Amino acid sequence: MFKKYQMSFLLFSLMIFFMIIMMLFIYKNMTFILEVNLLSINTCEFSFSMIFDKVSFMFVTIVMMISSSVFLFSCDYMKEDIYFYRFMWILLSFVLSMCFLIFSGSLLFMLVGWDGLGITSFALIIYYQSKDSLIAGFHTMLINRIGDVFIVVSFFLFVFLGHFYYYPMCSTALTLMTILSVASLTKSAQYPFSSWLPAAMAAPTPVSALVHSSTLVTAGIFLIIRLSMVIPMTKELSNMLLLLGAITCLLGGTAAIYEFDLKKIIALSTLSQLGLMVFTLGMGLTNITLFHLFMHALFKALLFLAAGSVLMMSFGVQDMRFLGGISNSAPFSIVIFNISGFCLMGAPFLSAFYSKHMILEKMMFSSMNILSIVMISFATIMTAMYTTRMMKSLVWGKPNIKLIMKNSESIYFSMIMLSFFAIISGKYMWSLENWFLECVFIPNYLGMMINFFVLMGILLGLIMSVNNSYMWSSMFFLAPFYINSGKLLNPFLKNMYFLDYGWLESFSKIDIISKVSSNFSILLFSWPIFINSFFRSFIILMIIFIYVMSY
Amino acid sequence: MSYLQYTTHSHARKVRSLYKQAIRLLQSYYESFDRYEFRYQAVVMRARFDENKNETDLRKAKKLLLDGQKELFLKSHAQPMKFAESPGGVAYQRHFPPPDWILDTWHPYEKAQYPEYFALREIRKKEFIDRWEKQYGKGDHEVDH
Repeated sequence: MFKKYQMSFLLFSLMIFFMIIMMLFIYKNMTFILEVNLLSINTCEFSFSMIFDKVSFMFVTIVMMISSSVFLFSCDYMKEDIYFYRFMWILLSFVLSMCFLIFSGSLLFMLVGWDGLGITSFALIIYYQSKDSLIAGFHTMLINRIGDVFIVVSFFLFVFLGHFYYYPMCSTALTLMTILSVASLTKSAQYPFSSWLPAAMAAPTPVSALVHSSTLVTAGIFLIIRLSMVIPMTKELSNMLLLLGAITCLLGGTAAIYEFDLKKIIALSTLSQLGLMVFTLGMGLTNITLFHLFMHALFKALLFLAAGSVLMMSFGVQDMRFLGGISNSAPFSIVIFNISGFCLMGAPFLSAFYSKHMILEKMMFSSMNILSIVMISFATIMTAMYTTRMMKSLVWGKPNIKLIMKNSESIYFSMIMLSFFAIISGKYMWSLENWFLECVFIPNYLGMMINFFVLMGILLGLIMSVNNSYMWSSMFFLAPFYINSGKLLNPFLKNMYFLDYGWLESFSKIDIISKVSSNFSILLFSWPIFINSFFRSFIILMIIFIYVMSY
Repeated sequence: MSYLQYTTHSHARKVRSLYKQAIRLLQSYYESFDRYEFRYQAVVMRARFDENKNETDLRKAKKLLLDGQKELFLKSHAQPMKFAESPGGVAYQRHFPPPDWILDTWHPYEKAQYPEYFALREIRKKEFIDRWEKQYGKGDHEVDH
């Protein structure tokens, strides 16, 4: 009995330990660097290095906080599973890799954490041994490998510099910054590489709570933050981040409106928030990005845990059309779900209010083009819309399936712990660290407009009915390179179309089928995508064109 | 469709199948708090089927069926409701225990890591075969796997 919870206790005590050290580092404003030189060839040093400063201790405290709750939650969520301990050990190795990444000060040490995250996340996604999980796992792994290619490319440039550290990099290392930023975008699921995040929801819910909401996807953003502390960003790089962040934010929000899968909606909301973070990085506000990253990690993990407790009741049914009336059968879970939902919207005095509103106010304050402001404002409205829709579907009506209440104390305790932090941490962080504070001078009506956006989103979400759209449900925009890759890879696929259930099938199904079927079945098979193919390409190109021209 | 049809379906069965698919499709269009709206639409759908219940002209009946199937296709939902454990559902094949004979395919080096377990396993396999043969007699080795 006790053995089950020991990992959670361990992580909780580590959280307390790191929290005390974090206070000390913030109070004294200290930074320690630990260097171990492994090898020197000519003038190049191959060395491991670790940075201990307030940023790394804050992040590791948040990671420990979330992971202790998630471990406690999964003790009950996964207790029926025959490979329970295997699951726990993989999850623990994931947390360890994340800690390596957070404390890393050189690229070599960072790579240990980076690839550790890649491998363990693959192992966790394919944990349920079904075909869909395998496809999702390969999808995730292959896109993350694109990022690894960029990191390997950056190795050569580091050799030219003569060392592998982040911190003594001079401001001329701009190429390096650009390459590592692109690598970060793959990990953080930004626009051209964002298809893996909704696919990765094939993993068990505790994994989604830990990996795909708060830790793994923030690794890329954390890397950019670390680098931008020493290298100022160029205008081109800032523009790229602004563009990709705004597109991801808007499209993630739009897709969430048309989605019915509970976990996928939360995943798409993560995508939207990550877009907002990258957008903030593009504005050059690393401190607020970090603040929003922490707040988002807390409330999104809570949202996943609350959704997980609902899924426990429904025996894995995730479709919102089956669910409903959960306020009667599990009032506590739905209260937690609503708290985290309001955090996501940026409702006043909850944690994300302090970060999200500051981002939006800084956006209004900056001299940015009107188009990006409009895009992010729409994304804010959409966030409130789909969150309200999600709450409405779960709270109102009656379920179409039998829901059986079987939640236990460990699930409640993990959710209470996280919800406590999700409510107070915004104000707490502000009072703890002045670095997160920014001055904004905008007219009163612009400040009030943000609240108006949220209210409008809630109203629209309440009156919105069910949507049906092939264009948005197929998530074409998340996979612009892959959905039609069959055409590009035709010579390569010529000898592969007879293979059964290869992992390429999910990408190039349509073209493989068209080789072996009649005209009618091609039309039948590719009908929804066939109609919208021109339209969707046109819209995407228009958005990019207008955006680039407006700079 | 693309699969091979290996049973003969009567006209009545096809109509019943169409009716069931139509109701499932309607259900996909309404969330759980829109149940009253769904019930209303389901009654309307039933009335459309009942209208032609007593159609005796087979050519006309067949045309109605084909029209219905076409309408079903054209109005299909982008994300139809799927039960979690059904094919296409989120939890399909989720809990799939690996069969016992997988352990027999392990390499001797792999087996050597768990010597006690595999020694016991060999004894148990022998006991099982003995018990089987005692109960059902010896099998024909020519057709044995």
